[in-house]
Amino acid sequence: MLKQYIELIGEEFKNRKVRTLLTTLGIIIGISLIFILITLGQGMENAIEEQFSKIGIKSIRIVPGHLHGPPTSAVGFDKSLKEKIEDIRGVDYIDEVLIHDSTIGYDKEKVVTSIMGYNTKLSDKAFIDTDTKLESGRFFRVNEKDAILLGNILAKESFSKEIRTKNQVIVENKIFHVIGIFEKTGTDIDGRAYIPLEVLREISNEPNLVNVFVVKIKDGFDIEKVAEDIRKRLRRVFKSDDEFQVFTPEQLIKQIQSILGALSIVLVAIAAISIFVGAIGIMNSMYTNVLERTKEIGVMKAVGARNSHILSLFLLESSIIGLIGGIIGVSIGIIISLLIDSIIISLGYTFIIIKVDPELVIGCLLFAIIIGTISGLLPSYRASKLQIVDALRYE
Amino acid sequence: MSKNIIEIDNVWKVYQMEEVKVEALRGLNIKIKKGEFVIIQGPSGSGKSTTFNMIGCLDIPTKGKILLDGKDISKLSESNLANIRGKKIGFIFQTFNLMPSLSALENVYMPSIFHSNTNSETIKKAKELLEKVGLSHRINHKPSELSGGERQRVAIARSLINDPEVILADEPTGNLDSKTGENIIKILNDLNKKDKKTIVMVTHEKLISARYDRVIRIKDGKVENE
Ligand SMILES: Nc1ncnc2c1ncn2[C@@H]1O[C@H](COP(=O)(O)OP(=O)(O)O)[C@@H](O)[C@H]1O
Ligand SMILES: [Mg+2]
Repeated sequence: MLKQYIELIGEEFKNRKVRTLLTTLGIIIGISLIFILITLGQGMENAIEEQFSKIGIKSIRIVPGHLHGPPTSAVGFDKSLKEKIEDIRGVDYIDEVLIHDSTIGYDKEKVVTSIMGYNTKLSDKAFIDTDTKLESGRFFRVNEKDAILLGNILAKESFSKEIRTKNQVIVENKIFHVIGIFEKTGTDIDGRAYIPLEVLREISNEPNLVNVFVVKIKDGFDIEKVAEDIRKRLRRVFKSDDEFQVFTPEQLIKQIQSILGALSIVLVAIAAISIFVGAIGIMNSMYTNVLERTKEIGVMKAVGARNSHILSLFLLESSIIGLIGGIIGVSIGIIISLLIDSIIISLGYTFIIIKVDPELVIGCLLFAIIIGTISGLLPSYRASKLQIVDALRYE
Repeated sequence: MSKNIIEIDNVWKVYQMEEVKVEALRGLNIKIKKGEFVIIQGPSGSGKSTTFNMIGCLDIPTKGKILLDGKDISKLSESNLANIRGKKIGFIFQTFNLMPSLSALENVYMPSIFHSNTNSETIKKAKELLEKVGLSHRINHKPSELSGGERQRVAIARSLINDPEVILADEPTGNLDSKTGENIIKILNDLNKKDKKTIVMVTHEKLISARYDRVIRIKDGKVENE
């Protein structure tokens, strides 16, 4: 039955290809916007989760005020801040992150990259706590000086000749021994290098700067409570609240969501309008369709179609129009999301990790079908109620 | 004598057009026996098509009774009437009334979509019916690619797909030249004589070659010569 119904409709569609496509334009735009919006939102959450699985879900980050985005070498604190918060209950240890943008030289080539300082007194603890693994080699030894760890892509792809453990590279005219190469992670670590913090301080001529403090929390302590204690302490150190931000994983998610939220409202509004316009479009097109096919409706009824048959036939048609709009909309949504993803990656950011969610695809398609069906309700009802004799006389 | 398959008992049909009432049927009485070939004649506007609509359950009377197979259909629900149209009656119209987007074959089995499950059996039957009306070489053509006579033959094949007892034809040759018309009449004659179908044909033309049993003349919404 359904197959034959679709045959009945399909033949009609062929004759009205362009019009059907135009009709679905609103649905296409609306569905693709919704799809992109949700995918980007999820992508950001993915990225945050990913980042925190790297820095550890039991960590608090202290970054300078006014910073909206990934930490950079541009802003930071004085390292003396560390001693002022170290004694807060629940703090396990505090890792000072220093970022220095510089070049790495290898085999006559130079590559610009971010070099991170690592406190060798922590031995390999900070790496293990953040689940950072090596593909080859070893981590730093305490007080080691001329050693360097390289990100996977930096070592393998950035130079025309692959860098291996035990090779030597040059940073700011100093020779460093490559002691290890990180596993590929798909995050910014892949493009970075780590050298001992004290060495980086000399090289960068930043004896006191810390870009980010990562505070590791002891097991059994409430991370939000410790963060609040840190905030209280920092308020005493700084004159104003604007100079620092203390983030727990949850807060970072909330912060990004609020940025996203403002954007979402606009996009949701556009999506809602286009879907509304799309629904009106489908309804209008279905009314035209019913009118144009009045005589055919009369014929179908004459040869035995019930009102309910005609109703379902036209509802099916409008739901298929919705589905077509949904399929095109989701396809466009996938393409644009992946495009955004590759642009963000090529710009070197990792604050978004796009994944195409099959549930979202199905959800969007169902939504499009529902919109199509609802838009077709009134025209289909009118079609089903046509009087046979009148319909047959219609020219 | 066999029993009446169609009985129209004092049927009135009044169309309300703005201020004016048009009485299309004014106490019509007709009885048609199973297997009869009946011709309904009368001047234009006399109520022939309205009668056709009443017998075919395409419209309901304002007053009076219509019995099909002894069952009063004037009070049946919409879906029951649709069932009767689909199963008991085959329709042939002056303007063919085919579905323009469907092929000849699809047009023929289209009624079965609403009544039985269209399956390979039905499609085979549709092909046989097209063969019977001499159109086996045209099954994939659209109506627009067929001549008037061919279209009417597709319509005849369609009217037979659900194996109805009664075939109603409203001026089936009205849009055809006389030679093609003769051909259509011949097919109807065969359906009556060989397949024992009851046939009710409305026409205002001179009676060509139809081997009918009876002519019912209608004038001003009533039977004239009974
Ligand atoms: N749907 C309708 N609305 C109003 N008047 C109608 C309608 N159908 C038929 N009539 C009128 O009823 C009368 C009988 O029409 P009809 O049965 O079509 O006649 P015939 O088929 O014999 O030419 C005519 O006067 C016609 O104008
Ligand atoms: Mg007429």
